Amino acid sequence: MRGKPDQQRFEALLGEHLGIVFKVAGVYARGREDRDDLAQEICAQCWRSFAGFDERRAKFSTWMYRVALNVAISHARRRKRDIAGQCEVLETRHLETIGADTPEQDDERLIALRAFIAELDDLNRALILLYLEERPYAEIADVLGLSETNVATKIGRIKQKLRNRMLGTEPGIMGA
Amino acid sequence: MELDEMKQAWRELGERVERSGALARQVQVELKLDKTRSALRRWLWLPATEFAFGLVMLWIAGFFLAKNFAVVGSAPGGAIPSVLLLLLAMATIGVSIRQFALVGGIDFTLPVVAIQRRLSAARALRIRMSQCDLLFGLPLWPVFLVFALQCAGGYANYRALDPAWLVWNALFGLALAVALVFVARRYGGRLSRSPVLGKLAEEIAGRGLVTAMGHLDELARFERE
Repeated sequence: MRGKPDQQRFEALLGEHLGIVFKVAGVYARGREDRDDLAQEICAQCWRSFAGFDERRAKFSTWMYRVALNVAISHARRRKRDIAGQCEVLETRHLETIGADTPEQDDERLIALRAFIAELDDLNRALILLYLEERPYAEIADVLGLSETNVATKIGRIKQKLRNRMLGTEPGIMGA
Repeated sequence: MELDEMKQAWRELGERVERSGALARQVQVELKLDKTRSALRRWLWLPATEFAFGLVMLWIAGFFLAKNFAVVGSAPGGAIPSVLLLLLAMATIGVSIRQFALVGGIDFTLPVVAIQRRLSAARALRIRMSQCDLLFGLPLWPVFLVFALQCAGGYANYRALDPAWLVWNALFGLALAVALVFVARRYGGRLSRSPVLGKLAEEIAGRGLVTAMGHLDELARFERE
């Protein structure tokens, strides 16, 4: 049983890194309600796993990315199973929730970014999220369980596909 | 737009998230930390039930065989139902232990690829287990009936039912299982309006298994390429 100091420490760390929760939730959720549910689920799982967190082994943010992405991918897959057969293609609704609580209008770049992430599968979405968050390749490799070379290759490939798409020679980048 | 340019757009989105303090407060208020542990247990109740069921079957069949050990040699046919039950019990226990191993010790702080592989493997195993329950359970029901009669009236009671009747019922069970698979594959889409029936149809038809195996392939590709 964990005590009050543990919970206070966790809440402090969570408060500092809450942006990670919402970014991950925003990338994998469909709609605001789903995003809030997913954010809750991520926070809850972080707390459940917090007893095993060792700051000598990993930074809290790295640890949190792992938990958040694992929860979010599982959530996305579970939800896909739940809506399977309902014949509703919802992919393009992805990311509509990130920053949607603020009144700013989206410019073209944000629209392009949303469309770009919406085309990726769950795993490549995790990869790109970490890349956009400017995490070093070593950390991305650590979070995902890949080699650094593999991470670099994948990112290079996505960049190339994106470039090709801009030139009109690539239809989509789903599998990347 | 280049991927690197997207980082700028992403930063802007990040700033919006930071400004969205209301969300943060909402989560912190709703986060009832002490109540979160029970959620994980939901993952385990099904294998736990199967494990308990397997143990009970093992105990009953084992006890029956031990009690009638002296007469098995003279009428080995009468031991078939209990031996089958024993084998089923062992298989059930084995699969539930495997499920515990896959899901029970799951640690979400491990790398994404490793955890997702374990979750997909656990799901594939769960679906196979459900399919086997149905596809073996229906044709084998006369065997369970004979065993129940033996438990109630003694070892020799396996002769109480006409063998032809048993065979026909086993065949009927088999036909029913095949028909269920056909209906699930043919009309599964229509059943998807009901969450429970839809999920059941998906599992019987094997679509869930295909999806889970697809996820495993996707993970392998992601890791390899």
